[in-house]
Amino acid sequence: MPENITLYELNNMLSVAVSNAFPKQYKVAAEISELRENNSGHCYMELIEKDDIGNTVAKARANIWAATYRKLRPFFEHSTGISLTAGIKVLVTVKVGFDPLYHYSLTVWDIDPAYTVGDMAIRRTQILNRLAQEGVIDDNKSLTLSPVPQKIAVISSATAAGYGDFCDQLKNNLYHYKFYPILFKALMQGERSAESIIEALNSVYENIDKFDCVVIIRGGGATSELNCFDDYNLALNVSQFPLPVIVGIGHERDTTVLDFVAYKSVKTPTAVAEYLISTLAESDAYLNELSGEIGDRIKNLLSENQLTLSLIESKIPSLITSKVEREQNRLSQLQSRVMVGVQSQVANEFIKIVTLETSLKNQLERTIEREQNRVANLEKNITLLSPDKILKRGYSIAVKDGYPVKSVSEINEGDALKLIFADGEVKTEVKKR
Amino acid sequence: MKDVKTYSTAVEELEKIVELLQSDNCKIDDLKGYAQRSVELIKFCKAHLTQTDEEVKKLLEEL
Repeated sequence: MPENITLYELNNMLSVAVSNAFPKQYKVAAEISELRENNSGHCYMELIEKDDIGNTVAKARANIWAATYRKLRPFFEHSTGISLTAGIKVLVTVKVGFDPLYHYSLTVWDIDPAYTVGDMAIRRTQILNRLAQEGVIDDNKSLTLSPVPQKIAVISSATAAGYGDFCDQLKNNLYHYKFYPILFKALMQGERSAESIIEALNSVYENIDKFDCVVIIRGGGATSELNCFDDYNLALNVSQFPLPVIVGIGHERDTTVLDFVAYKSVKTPTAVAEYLISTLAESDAYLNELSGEIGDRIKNLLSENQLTLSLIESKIPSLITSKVEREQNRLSQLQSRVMVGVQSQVANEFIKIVTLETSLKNQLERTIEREQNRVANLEKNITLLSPDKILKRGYSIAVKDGYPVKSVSEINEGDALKLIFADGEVKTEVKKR
Repeated sequence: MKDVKTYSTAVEELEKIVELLQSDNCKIDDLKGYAQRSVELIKFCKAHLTQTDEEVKKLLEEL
């Protein structure tokens, strides 16, 4: 016959039973899949355990009271060099408890730092090492993202809050850039999500020519929900995908293998949108830069040319002047040479004339002398021939009609004759012949 | 718009024009041509960024 009790009574009974059943403290190895602090400084965790193939087989809430946490955390972090955070495996000393309101939970009194390299981190490291060894880890990173990634294949779940934020962000961007996001639905949490995302990638691949990039997004959730992104097959598919894959799957504290292999990993879907917008903005700025450079260069070339022109222009007058001066110089040189030539010619002529004059004078003098001699001779002869001396010796000349009479036969009786003597003349008449 | 198929080829051509303009054998006679061409290319690129390409939109929505 069942006993009638209240829920509180029942839970209280459970609480007592648990206390009695687990009187000791236990050291439990588990993975922290979630860790939060509240305002009072208490720490709330979710501890999990998985089997060999990665299925979660146990889960428990655990808390560290503020007084303990204040000492434990710095000690742990100082000892391990890593932060006490989700994703690491811990060996915790716990007391089991059951609260009528909050149910089963563990109270942590100690954490063994030496134990802590969590299974998630090891697995992540193993996957990353394998991808590195296979030489594919940076394949997606080495792709070139289009300068204008506008055609975007979005892998997300349609209902995820992150998808809506992403689309809004793209649509309402400050610069009015146009984007064409197309959703390829996939499960973004749960065990099947890696497989589902790979299927979505295959669908994108069938239309690969139509897209500039792939975006994988989901809003932040519990860390344990991010485990699916630490998956070798998914990482391999993403690294080998021929388009750049941009990932925004969680919050600050969540880093997965997917983040390592993706072309670009940012914290949130909104950040992915911002990244795409800023890529376009960079292209836009580059366009402005090119445009400015072309304008400046053309202006410079033009003004350089104008400068050259005006330089030439300014040189022309002086060129002309100097040309004119040169010609003038040449002319005056020619002129002076002509002058010199003329002068020497004149001088030559002068000398010639003087010479001529001199010789003419000499000639003249000689001629005059000769003539004078001749005249003198003639005079002498004339003196010898002159009748004066004969007349003085007593001869006279009979002149008839002005002519001397050389024969008696020229005279007739009664002719008037003139007789010329040395000292005068007389007129006579022939009486007889 | 002649010969321009993609944003990238347009930007490449713009870069070539810049290079040409910076080289020594840029002829003044060609400047006008370069200026016109770069305006065309910049316009094309700017439109690519901000104007909805209905064809692309339709093509993608059919997926």
